[in-house]
Amino acid sequence: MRNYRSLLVLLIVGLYIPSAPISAAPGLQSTQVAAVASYRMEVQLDAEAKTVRGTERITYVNRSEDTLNELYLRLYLRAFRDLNTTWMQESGGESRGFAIKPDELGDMTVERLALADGTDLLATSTLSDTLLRVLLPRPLVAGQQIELDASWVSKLPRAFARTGYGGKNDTFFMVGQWYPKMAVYDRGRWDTEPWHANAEFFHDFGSYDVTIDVPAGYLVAGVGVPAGPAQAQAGRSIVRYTADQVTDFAFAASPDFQTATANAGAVEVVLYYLPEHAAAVSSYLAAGVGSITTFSSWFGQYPHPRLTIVDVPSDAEGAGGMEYPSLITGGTGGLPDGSGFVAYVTAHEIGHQWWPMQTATNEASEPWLDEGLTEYSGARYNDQAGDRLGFGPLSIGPATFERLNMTGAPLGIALDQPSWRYSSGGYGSLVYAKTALGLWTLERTVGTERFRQAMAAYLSAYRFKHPRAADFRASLEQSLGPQPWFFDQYVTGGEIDYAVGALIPTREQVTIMRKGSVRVPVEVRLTLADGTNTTNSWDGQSESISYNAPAGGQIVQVEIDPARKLLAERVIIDNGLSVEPLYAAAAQLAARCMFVFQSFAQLFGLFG
Amino acid sequence: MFGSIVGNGIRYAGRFRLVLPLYLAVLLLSLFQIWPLFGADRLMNPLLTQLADRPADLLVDIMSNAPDQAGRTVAAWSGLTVLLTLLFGAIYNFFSGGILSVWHGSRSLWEGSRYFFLCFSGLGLVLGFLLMIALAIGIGIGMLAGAMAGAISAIVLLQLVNLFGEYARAAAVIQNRRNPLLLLGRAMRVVMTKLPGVLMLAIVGLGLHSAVALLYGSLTTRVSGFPVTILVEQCVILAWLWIKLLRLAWALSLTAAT
Repeated sequence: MRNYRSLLVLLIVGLYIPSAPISAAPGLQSTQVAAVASYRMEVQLDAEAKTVRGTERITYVNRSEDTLNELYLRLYLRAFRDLNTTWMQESGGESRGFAIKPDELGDMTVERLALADGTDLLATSTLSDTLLRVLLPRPLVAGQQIELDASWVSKLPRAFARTGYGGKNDTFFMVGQWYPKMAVYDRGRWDTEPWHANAEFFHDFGSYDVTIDVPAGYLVAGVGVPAGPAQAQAGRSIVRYTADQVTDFAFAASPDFQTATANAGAVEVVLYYLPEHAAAVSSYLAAGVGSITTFSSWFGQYPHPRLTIVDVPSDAEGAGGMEYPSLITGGTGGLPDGSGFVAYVTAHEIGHQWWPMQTATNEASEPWLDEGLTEYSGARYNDQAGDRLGFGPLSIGPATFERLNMTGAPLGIALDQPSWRYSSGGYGSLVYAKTALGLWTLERTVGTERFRQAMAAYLSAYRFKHPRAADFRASLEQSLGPQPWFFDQYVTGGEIDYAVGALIPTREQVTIMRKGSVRVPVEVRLTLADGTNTTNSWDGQSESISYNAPAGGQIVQVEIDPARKLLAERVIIDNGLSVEPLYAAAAQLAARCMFVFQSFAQLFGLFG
Repeated sequence: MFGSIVGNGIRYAGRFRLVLPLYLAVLLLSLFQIWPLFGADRLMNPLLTQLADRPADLLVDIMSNAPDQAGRTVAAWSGLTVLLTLLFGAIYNFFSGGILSVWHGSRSLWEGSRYFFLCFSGLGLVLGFLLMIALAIGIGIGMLAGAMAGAISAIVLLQLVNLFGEYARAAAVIQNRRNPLLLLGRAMRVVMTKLPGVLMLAIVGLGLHSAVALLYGSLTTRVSGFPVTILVEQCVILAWLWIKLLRLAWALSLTAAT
């Protein structure tokens, strides 16, 4: 609340009272959130033409110590204007298995760009791919703020890569990456990387005040909170949303939306769902409330009064599974309720409300800091909540799901590279799954409580800032001590793999080998012939280690990592050896397999 | 009238020893199917213990360790499962003729089984073809009207084909005919002329199968330990099989009454 009030003060001074387009920014107390880019917009959705036309005033504060002579605006939707953009060239016109239709592309056209005093900026601006370079008539010195006025029209594609339209009679709209938006100036340079196919975003914090005009009967779900009920006006419906301490704004609109609400403490969770997905309402809300409550207790409080979940139609899944500040999109994946898909997607996207919505990392150049941390958070929540993917006995838990996803991870490739260096498959298996499993392994090796405290300390130190990988490492190691196996070996492309080497015939000595390059500490349990067992800790620094049975004793079973702390270990089938056949376990497994087969045989063999 | 049909069916199916040949067949086939588990090196791996506790997770995990090798193993095991299921279908085609003959009083178990085996095998092939058509229709409806509508359509059509098969077997024994296509026509006629009774018996049969499945679902969370679990599971298999024979007995009883 303290930051919230501070931001309001800043807004009053910074947004609404300025008398000149370039002026000194108000001073900040150490506890205030430094709003950098704030937006006031009035936009109109044309449901027939599939366009959004808008005007905006951007208030940008130069929080750096440098003098800026130019600005950059991001025009993301231009990535979909034809098949020759960087994004399209890299993706081949596909995203998540959906192909863009050449006759239903997106685009964005800036029609006017000027300083608040009317000085035109568009004529001297240069456009390249998705970036508009804007030359300033006067330098913007450190601490000064500038106000820009823009008007533009965005053409939405058929639901594709997080944005667009679809659903019944094409009346569902997910409007994302849709307005001229300030690029980020951080640590002495503008982020001028074009929008890449694998990449997401990098934005500054600020406030939004957006008035949205839609056809009558449409319900609008937006980032932030509605400032009152929708107003009917000349066959249209007008609603205003405001949001503070956020990095972006998006909204969804549909005449078919129904709503359901629940509370996670003081946070109102509002679900906008489609009638055909009514069966999924309880799954959405349970995962929404559960994950907000859980992440708040693990990492730090959710900072907004409301979280909006948007359910997307089955033919617009390309717009599903996306995060914006205080708003996420879900989807059922075309699966019936009970598949665990809704819980998985919802928990993941809500995890993003911490990473990167509070730690605004560069999602394009260091994607593991948002997708990896989020995948870990979501999987941990799903694991704690008992969520499984699949149905009944054929379902798998979150850890197995991540391990399955890691199967496709190319060996030896670092997971801290820029998003555009990965193939589409490698991006998912490395940035998401391998990072999540690495963090889960780190948690298990240092202890859950210590790890969560470390993550909370990281969030506390970098909340509403732009941390980088080095900051993440420094913060975690400050809390946990040095973790070279994770940061120097695992993140840079190493693999975790241990194996039982040899048990000598006299059963007095066993050798354990480290086959992977990551030297992570591991436990080895030895069971002796008299039934006793001992657990030994090995630091994994050498290539192998031998353990001896006590004098007169014999080793009958050896297990590496018996507690399964090393969830990121690639191959586990060679982690144990028993000198005696395990008939009891085999019989139990055999009985289970028999039953499965017998059920299958009866189902199909007794037909007719 | 309907009461005596239901009662006759239950009396037929009450001859419990007739279930045993089919149960023993599925038991032996399942033992054959799990035999690869008992390879020497597999018995030495402590993961077996965890595999018995959480099979889906660990199986997927192990398969993801070596996708190529796991892929070949899964393919081989899946192929074996399909073959053994087809074999069980053939065994059902063999014994169902004998069981129905014993209930009808026309032949002994072995004589009836041998007499109708080829006929019922042919009927099985025709039913398999109809099953494919039912699935194709379900998929088509699913593409036009959504997955749920498609699934429901496919399930209803499959149940209908299953019902035709049961009444065709009953008609074969009662009318002593062995032409599968002719029998299927007779079955359709019985189903259409006695629709309320046929539907009621089919729904009761489905209800009993569902009750067994639900009972098993609730028991799995309450029972533990190897001997109790295997006992419960085998009782479920036996009950499921008996209900299938009860459905056949009702089909025989109703067809005989027309």
